[in-house]
Amino acid sequence: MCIMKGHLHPLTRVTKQMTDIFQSMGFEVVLGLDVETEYYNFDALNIPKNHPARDMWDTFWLKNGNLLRTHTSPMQIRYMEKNNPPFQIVVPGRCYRYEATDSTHEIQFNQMECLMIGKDINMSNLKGVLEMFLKKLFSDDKIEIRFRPSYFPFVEPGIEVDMKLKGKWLEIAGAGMVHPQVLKNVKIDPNEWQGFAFGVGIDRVAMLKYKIDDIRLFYGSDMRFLRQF
Amino acid sequence: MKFSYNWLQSYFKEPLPKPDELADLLTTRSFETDKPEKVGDDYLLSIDVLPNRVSDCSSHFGMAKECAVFFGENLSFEIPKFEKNPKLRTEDYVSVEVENPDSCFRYIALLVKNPKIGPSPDWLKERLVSVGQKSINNVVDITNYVMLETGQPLHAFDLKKISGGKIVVRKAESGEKMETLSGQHVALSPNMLVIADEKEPMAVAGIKGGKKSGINEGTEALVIEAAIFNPADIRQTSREIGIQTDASFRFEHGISLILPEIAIERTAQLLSEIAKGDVAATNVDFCPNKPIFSRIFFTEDDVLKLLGEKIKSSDIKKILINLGFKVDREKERFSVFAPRERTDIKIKEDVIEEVARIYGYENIKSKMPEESLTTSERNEEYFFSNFMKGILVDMGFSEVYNYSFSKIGKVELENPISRDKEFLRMNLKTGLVDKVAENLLKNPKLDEIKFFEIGKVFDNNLGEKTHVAIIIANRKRTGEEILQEIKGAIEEFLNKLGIAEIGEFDGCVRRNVFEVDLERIVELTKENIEMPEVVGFGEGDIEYKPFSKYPAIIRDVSLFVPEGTQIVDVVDIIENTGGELLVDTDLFDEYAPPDGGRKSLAFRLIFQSFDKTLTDKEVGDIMDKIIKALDENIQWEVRKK
Repeated sequence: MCIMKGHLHPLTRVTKQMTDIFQSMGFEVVLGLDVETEYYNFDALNIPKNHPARDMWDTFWLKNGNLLRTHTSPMQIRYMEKNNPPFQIVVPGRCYRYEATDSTHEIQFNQMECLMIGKDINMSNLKGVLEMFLKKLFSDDKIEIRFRPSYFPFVEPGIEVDMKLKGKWLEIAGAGMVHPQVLKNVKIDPNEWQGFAFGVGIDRVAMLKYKIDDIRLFYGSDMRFLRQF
Repeated sequence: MKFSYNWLQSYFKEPLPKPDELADLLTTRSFETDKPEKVGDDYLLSIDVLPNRVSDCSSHFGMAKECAVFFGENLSFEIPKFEKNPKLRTEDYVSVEVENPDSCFRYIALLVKNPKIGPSPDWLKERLVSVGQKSINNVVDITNYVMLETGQPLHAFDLKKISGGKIVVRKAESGEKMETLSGQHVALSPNMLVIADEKEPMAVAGIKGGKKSGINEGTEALVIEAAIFNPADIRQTSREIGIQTDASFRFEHGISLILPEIAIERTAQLLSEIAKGDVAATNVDFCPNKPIFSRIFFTEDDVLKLLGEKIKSSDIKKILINLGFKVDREKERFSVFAPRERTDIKIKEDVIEEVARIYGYENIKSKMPEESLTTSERNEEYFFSNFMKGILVDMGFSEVYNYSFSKIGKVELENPISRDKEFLRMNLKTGLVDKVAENLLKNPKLDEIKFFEIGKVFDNNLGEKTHVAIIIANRKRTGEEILQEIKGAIEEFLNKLGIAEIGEFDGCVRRNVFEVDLERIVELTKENIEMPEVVGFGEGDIEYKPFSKYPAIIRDVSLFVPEGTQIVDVVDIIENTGGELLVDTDLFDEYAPPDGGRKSLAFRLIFQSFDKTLTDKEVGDIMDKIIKALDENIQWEVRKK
């Protein structure tokens, strides 16, 4: 009897492609926790309480005092606390935001964090790695990217990364050079070490790759959607 | 934040680039800016001022200064000369006492007597209207205008309503209440800062003024307030009382201690010019800690090291001077002071960012890192998850990502988004069972569903764990048959992982679901089989096609046709009559009696719309047409139920 194959979730496919590309560049995959403490999600990342920057991350709080991570960045801290540079890691994982849902916003989504720390890892390396990654991911050697000024308290300079797809600039990642204070928080000497970090929305990449028009489809578990992958 | 193109232009002698070009420059050099919107003979720019730049760029002059840098200019703020009354001193009329210097860093009060309160001149009205504000009267308009111009929020009190001539900046007493300018009653609590007179609160500090102390046509003397409050206090109070204003937005982001003196001077000048007010020669200025501006040192090599791009020393200097930095050279280093309104510049990396964005990020070339780094180690959980996913898909299971939230669970949310998501899930099973039921309901054609999920489950004591769960559902089978099927599937799955002893997993099966801790399987797998180096999924060209999100309605139709009738002829009639709402026609039964004679055909028709939920009546009407069309062939007979 012939067995019909099942279907792999599109987010699994895309996550795997993303991590494969980074592994080919020597990055290590690390996984984090969905439930985080305020310290790792905010304070250690230079986002103190009552700081207006916290508005950028609407948060689900738990009755036990913890929270659901709003980004994969807490893993930067957890990893750096336990490891000595140089290192280069990627962290794929589920994140949460307390917000109204629509076709481009969900209360849960997936992000991949990338962190590279060395003696001389600089912004032009950030550009090089991102360009290589996006060219491979979209199998397009001519992909153009651009950096725009932005602000995330845990990086300096902080930038937004756009990618040109079919003549249109699309936001694809938030990035920057790891803030010296963040390195100090994990007892790494910022005079000796430096590097970059960025975060890419996995759902967003999957939507672009497969032309999916509604992020909520990923979590609807609808066979009419799933069987197309 | 909204900015008027014409207003920005007013600070420049030369014409600015066209609105679209200016928006592009702003986007690549400073802040994301939407496509400008034409309003009358002006353009409205919607500029996303970054949270750390509110201090210097939440104002038209600040934004103009930012734009000037793109053209190599350095704008400075000029206030036209005007007359003050040398005999009039603010301190003779009003005193300022700040009880909580931790919450109020600076407080300037300025007296202006005999303003002629009335409508604003047209230019002032136009400026306010251009950014969507209403004109009220010249005094209120001037305070609003100066905030939009300089970024410093201001407030005007009526002198005669300040009881005892005393302004007291203090925490509210419990039970105190205030009615705001817009008529809202606010209950104050002791953690909130207020601006009070001798008797009662006149304003919620930095957020909203009170009705009682506000100005009106009969006002004979004004006291203008320009203050700086503790951002955290403003933020907390604003959330607690549920009032956010243009003022509270600016205060909670933190603005420079030097802004009040600039803004109060500009306000005085406009009150003198427009309202013909008599401006006091002195103001009262509470400012116990003078603003500190620290020197930042860095070298060209620091710039090269962080950016990976060599920028000439002369270019660095020019960019910083245009940005308003004070730039000196101390031996081999730059020694710079940030502009006084730039509260965001604290360390050398902040300065290097300024250089980089104005130099242009597009001019930083991309290079792969030269450093050779450690070879990557395999992440066991990630690797095994993918390995198992591959096996399960080969076995006919489809992967789902359900919500981490659930109606029931052990870890409860403080702020759930809805009633059915009050907890974090404690298993994968509940979600799978729900989703299977939903799918069977929505997909009438689907008889069997096989799902799996690998995901996190949560417990207060045990923390979070990754589970693997699989489920089988089948409309046509009995519970016992399904139980056998799932047991067979588990055996196959575990065998493929090299686990022969499957008895210990018996407890993980409940009816049609199997759920187990991933770690348990990983341990056993590692003992038993040699894993491949890599797991591949293969990747074809997949492009998703949308499906309707509205429910399908099913109708059956059966008919007798003569032997030898082509089924496709029947289907053609059905589909041509059914129209676009008929999405599928399925022959599900065909019976030809052995003795020849008429054949019996049964079709299942599925109706669905992309725009709405279809009603029984709508589908009924289409069915009537289809039956009529089929009956028109006299050799065919539709069976009536």
